[in-house]
Amino acid sequence: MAFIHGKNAVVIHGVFDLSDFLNDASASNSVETAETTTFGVSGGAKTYITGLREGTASASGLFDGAASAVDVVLQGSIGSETLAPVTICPNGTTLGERVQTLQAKTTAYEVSSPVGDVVSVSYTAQADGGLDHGVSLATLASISASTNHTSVDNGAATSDGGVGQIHVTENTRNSSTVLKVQHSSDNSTFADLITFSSLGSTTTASERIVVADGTTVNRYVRAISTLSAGTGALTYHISFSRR
Amino acid sequence: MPKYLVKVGLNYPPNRRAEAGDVVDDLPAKSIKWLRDQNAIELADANAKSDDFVDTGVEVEESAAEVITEGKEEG
Repeated sequence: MAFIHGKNAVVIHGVFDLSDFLNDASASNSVETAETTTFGVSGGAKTYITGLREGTASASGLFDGAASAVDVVLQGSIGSETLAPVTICPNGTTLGERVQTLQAKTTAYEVSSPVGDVVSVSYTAQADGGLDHGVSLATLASISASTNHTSVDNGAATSDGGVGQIHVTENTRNSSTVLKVQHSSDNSTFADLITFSSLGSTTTASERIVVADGTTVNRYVRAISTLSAGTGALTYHISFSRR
Repeated sequence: MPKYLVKVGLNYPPNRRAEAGDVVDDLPAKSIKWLRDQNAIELADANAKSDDFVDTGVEVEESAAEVITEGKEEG
């Protein structure tokens, strides 16, 4: 076991890596419980059954009003009907690192301007569809050729689907790109599990795709990118969360 | 090596890619079982299929239920 420092955390909101502006981020998962206590309950204590999960996320940091900086991105998200995929990486985006992902509806955005300190921002979001904990399958980095990323070994298969999420934060490719999550039982042959929407020339995008409950996800998962012939590069992050 | 119909896109060594609908005969032997178990491939080779068939020598009549067209009865 190794403890980690928060200095390497990364927060990606839609197609924007906001890490350069933020200095605190948190994600919270909770579940409702419904009381089932009846007369004569054994042990003299209340009993409960599990209800629905709920997730929230929050972040705060320093104000920057430039285009594509934190103020424009977060102010633009509040009140929007468009849900933004958000990924929080407590120890960075390196392949295999743990991540928290959600489809966020921004519920609050605040700019604070104290006379004696730097102007700051804070933000909270409600997860639509729950908050999931998974692993990074592709480090946020520039790629200019089709890539089969190294697989992540879960130690065993799981049987309740999952969630894949991508953030393409930069794209100068003059051709299309397809990003996928694949899985394997033997770490040799990989089958497509999730195929994200094809990315057009110079298009940035973020997307979250749910693999249905009851679907087997094999022991090994990995990300792959297929770049059509062309020039340029794109920067992306891919994660997968088992359920 | 039997031929298999690929039902889900696959990447397999050495650096091969098969799309859904392709018929391939070079899948790694160690991957066949789990791919078939998960319905990612199915046997496409006619000879291989006949190998699986066991003739019991008993003729079976088509039952009345089997000749009813779905949604309407013959009559």
